[in-house]
Amino acid sequence: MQDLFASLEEIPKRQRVRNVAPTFQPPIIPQHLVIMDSASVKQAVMQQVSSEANMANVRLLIEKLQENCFQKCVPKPGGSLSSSEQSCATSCMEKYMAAWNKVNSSYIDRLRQEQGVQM
Amino acid sequence: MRRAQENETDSAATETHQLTQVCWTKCFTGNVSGSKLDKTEEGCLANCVNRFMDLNLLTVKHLNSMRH
Repeated sequence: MQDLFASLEEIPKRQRVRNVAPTFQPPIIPQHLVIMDSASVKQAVMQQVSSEANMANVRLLIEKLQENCFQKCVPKPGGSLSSSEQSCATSCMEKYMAAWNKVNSSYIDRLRQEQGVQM
Repeated sequence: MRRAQENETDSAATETHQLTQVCWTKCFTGNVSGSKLDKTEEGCLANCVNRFMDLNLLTVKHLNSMRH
């Protein structure tokens, strides 16, 4: 009996939480995930970690893009960012990202090669 | 095993950021022309990465030889 009352009280409480913070919806957890086994906990943690690593990666890329393209495209900062500076910056960014990809693939190729030599 | 692989890809990305920085200043000295890489730029980047790694190995070897 006590439990039944407790669970009845749960419903308006949840409603209230939703009304206070409409932007944050508590996730609806599928029944099969309510009792998480260690494997799915592990998976969730790993997903979180890898998305954080991606974020760090993106942040670093933005920093580098800005630094390098500012050096290249805005040699003497004027009163505003001119249209030629802007178009230079956009092509510079695209070029930097292309260069990043090329460097990454060359680096990985080289690592593979060295591992092959060692084995 | 999987964790080791993930660390590897993570550090590969970090290493790529540093290498791109180094090779960008080496291979793109003039004004930015176009938004795509041309053949010489691609070749320059590939050489830059490989020579950087060569120097890396050489540095380690040399330091090792200094210890003896």
